[in-house]
Amino acid sequence: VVSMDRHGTRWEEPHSTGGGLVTIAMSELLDRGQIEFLLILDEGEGAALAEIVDEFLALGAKGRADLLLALGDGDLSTVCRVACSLKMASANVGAGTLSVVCTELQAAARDARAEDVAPLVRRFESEYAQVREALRELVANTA
Amino acid sequence: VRILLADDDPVTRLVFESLVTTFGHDCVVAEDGTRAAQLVSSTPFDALFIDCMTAGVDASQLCRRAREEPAGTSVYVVLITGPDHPEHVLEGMSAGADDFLMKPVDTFAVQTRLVAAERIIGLRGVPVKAHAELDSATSSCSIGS
Repeated sequence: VVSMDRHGTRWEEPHSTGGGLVTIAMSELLDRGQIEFLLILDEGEGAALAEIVDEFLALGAKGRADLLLALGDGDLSTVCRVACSLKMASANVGAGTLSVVCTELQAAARDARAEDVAPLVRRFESEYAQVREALRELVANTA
Repeated sequence: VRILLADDDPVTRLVFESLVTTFGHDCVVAEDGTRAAQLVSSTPFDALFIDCMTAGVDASQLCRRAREEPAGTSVYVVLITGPDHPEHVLEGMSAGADDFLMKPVDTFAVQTRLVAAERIIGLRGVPVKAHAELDSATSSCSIGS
């Protein structure tokens, strides 16, 4: 069963993890398997997940600012490097679609396809904003 | 197992460190290859996990340096890579890495590499013991003749 919150994010109904440790409601933006893995790191207490999400959000905020600056400067080398970093960080927090957007952005910047970079940065911004809210909600739900 | 992780990505560092600590291992993290190279030359580690794209001293150079250390032949070296950089894995393994795993890291991938690392660490004393037994046998032969 899927519902929608005030941010327009789609959420699955609360669901018990495989280990039976916690019950979580989770956005469809996030990969359940990866989130369960992060929860298992401290046996479902959620502190490790919260710390990892904090680190991701700090990296994401800086990455977003760096991307916009580099886009304005036409600095595709920086876009490529930042997208690569965000691609892996996104995968680590289960944000699969965001990771794919970063992969596409990295490839466009690497191949100097300037016409594709700007729309992909906008897509990154939109997806990142949704993932950020979904992760914050997730951490609040597991605290 | 005393582990050194070299990875630029702070999220990967945090996930990996939490994971191996959960398994009961000690983990030191380095934010780039340069810091990792300093640590390798000053501290003995049982296993190195090195991101192929790490900045500063690259993964292949780090593998070579690790192998040149006194305990370098038995340190277990694992490369960490993304799915789009297979060429770095081959280069790193040619430089002395034992294995690789793909990002994002997960329990199974890390645990299986640590099982292998523990086996390698367990074999460390075997050549020394064999040499000692051989020396002893040689001495006995000399006395006998």
